[in-house]
Amino acid sequence: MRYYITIPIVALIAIFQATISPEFRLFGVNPDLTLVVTIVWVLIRGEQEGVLAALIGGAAVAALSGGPRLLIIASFVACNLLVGYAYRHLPRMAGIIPYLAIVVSTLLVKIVLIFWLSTTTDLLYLRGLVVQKVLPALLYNLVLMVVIYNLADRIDRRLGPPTVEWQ
Amino acid sequence: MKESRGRVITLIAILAIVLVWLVLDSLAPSNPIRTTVSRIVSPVQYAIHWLGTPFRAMADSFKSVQALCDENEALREENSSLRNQIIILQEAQLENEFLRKQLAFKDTVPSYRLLSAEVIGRDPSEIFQYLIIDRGSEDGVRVKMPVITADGLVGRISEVGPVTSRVMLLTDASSSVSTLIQRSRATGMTQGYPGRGLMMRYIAQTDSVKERDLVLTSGLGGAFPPKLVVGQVVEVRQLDVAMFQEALVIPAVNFTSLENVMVVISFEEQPVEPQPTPEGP
Repeated sequence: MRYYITIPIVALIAIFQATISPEFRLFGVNPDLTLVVTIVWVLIRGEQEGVLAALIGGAAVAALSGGPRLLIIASFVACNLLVGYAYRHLPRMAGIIPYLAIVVSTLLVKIVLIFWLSTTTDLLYLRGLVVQKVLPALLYNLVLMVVIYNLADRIDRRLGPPTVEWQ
Repeated sequence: MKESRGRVITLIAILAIVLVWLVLDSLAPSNPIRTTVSRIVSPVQYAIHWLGTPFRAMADSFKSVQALCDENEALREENSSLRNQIIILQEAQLENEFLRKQLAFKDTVPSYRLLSAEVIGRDPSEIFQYLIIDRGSEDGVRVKMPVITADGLVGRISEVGPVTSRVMLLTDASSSVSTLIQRSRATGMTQGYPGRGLMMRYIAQTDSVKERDLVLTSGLGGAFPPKLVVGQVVEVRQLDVAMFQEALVIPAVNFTSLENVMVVISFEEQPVEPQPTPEGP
């Protein structure tokens, strides 16, 4: 896909996440739509496009967040590199990698941000954060992954370049 | 030749019968020709009428089904329109109630210069507690200005753009407000406590703090106006070995459902300007 399509799509999704996603609260949390979409991107369109999507998604989320910007962008890119590497080197696990990827990525992003939080304050109720934010986000993102990955895969099969297969 | 003569005779005969019928009909309403014709035609008419009844009923039902469909469609549209109107009215009512509440609040703090703002976004990470509002530097918003609702303190402006601003909520880890307990006037510092809500810290051991005590801004430091509701104490932590007491506080404002807020542009006492006296001639 052309880069000039990737950039507005991912940026729009980040704005959607910051603006309207509170209307779609589930398990007490908002959907991490940008993270899910960037992970789907790397799984479907490969590492090069995936990392670009992660960079744009991370930058857009960071711009809309009050948190540490560089850390947010870095965590997004790291997640995508990790997922891309796993997808390339573990072909036998291709079926479960999307779901494993979102669980690991959600955990990674949240842990990085909570770690940052712990360096800025001595008041942190970790169990509360894990129960109220991290676990519900894991579950919600997993549900989103099932929907978005399968939908995006179908769209890509129809619109994307034909795949070469052994006869 | 014979054939054409026969046709002429038949024509003349028919004309004669029609003529006689017309003359008789004009002379008397009931005449033998009309009676005879009626006797012959009426059974046929009945038969045709009887045979046509189901077709007519079918045609009528088709017409009525079509009319019902049209009516149904019109009613659906009307229903949809009325439902939309109800939703709009309900929204207007809620907005009205909110504005009334704000207006009542404004009346209680006449010295505040307030600016209404709409919440247009939230922090996408959810680990950090921020809001984005639709007012920026062009509207006079500046960094560190307090943000409130009629329910109490929301937070403070942390970043200002030309048309939008970011509000750091009280519950953010970096938030810290000088507060006091309404009942005992015990002072402390209320900080964001990620995962729990708020924590009022540095309360002297000798001061009295109880559950359900109301926590208000103290106004110390001048960052926030005094006497704004911050929250309510739900748990007191007092250790003999500790220098201070701590109190867990639930915020007075429900941050997840915030739609409108007010930015406190200034909260100093406004000097009352003397009214100009009318000058005599």
